[in-house]
Amino acid sequence: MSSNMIMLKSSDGASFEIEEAAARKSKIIANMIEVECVDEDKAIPLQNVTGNILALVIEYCNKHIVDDDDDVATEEASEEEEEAKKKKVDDWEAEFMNSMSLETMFELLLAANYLNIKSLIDLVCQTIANNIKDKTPEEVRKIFSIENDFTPEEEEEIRKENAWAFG
Amino acid sequence: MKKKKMTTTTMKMPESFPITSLPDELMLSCLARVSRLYYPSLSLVCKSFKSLLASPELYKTRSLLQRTESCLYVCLHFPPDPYPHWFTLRHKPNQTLTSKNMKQSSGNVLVPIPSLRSPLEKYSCLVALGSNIYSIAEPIKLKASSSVSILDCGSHKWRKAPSLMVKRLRPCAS
Repeated sequence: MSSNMIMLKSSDGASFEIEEAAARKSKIIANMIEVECVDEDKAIPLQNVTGNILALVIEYCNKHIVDDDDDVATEEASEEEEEAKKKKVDDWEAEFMNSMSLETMFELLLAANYLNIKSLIDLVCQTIANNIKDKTPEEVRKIFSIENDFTPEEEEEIRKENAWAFG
Repeated sequence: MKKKKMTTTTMKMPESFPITSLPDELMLSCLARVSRLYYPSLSLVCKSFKSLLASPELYKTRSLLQRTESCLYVCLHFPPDPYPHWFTLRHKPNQTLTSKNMKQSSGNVLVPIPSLRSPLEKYSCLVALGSNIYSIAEPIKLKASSSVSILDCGSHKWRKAPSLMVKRLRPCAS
């Protein structure tokens, strides 16, 4: 794997240096590299991502590129080792997601979507889903700061439609 | 993907970035990862949740993410009642578990869903395909039938399907 460094520039003007291998986690950036749109001396401007979010994206990419390299190096790793490694990644991801507010999580999701980093989209969506499941509507509204925009009549109507589920 | 509407209520929120301001595509990707058993309760959160949970796109997203779930449906006859009764297994939120029904500790119960009340559907041959259950009517008093009804397991509503091209005496499907 090449260890070329490339520069990324956030919407608020912060510059980040990242290994090409890590940057390739983003399909958008990988495509730019493929078609040789990347000038080694010039930073790639990312107009939809702020510096603090881009830092998180880069942290994620760096972590996962190391893991991918490990996969190549230890091709004949035992099942146990594989499991231990997977657990390490899972733990890191849980810690990573735990460290941020919901608002940051949404911004990170938008950035992952814009940069097309599928595994990061999956990770954030799953974390949000875990926050939603098994909660009452009131709890979901509270967690996500959603206002109840139903009239009492509309709410009654939905309860009636789904009577089977609320009985 | 349809364009997201910003409602005035959303703008008033203290947080600048409520979950409902995410593009539909990403909201669907989140909701698709939640078990379907929670959908009735989540439909009550707000209008945008409700419309996403009712959208066919949600089920497409679930398929793409390989998050399809098997659901149990039971059709029972209680003679002399001529009509079948339909039930589905649903999740009972913990919050409603009282000491009285604690013994259903799995949190799952069989609950009735709307049944077809047409004499034609008295006995029928059933087949599940995707998120639909097809009910092919069996003949009554040896009168062959071509009637087919579909239960949409997303909304639990019955609808008429196009009739079979040939009337069947002994429908069979698998």
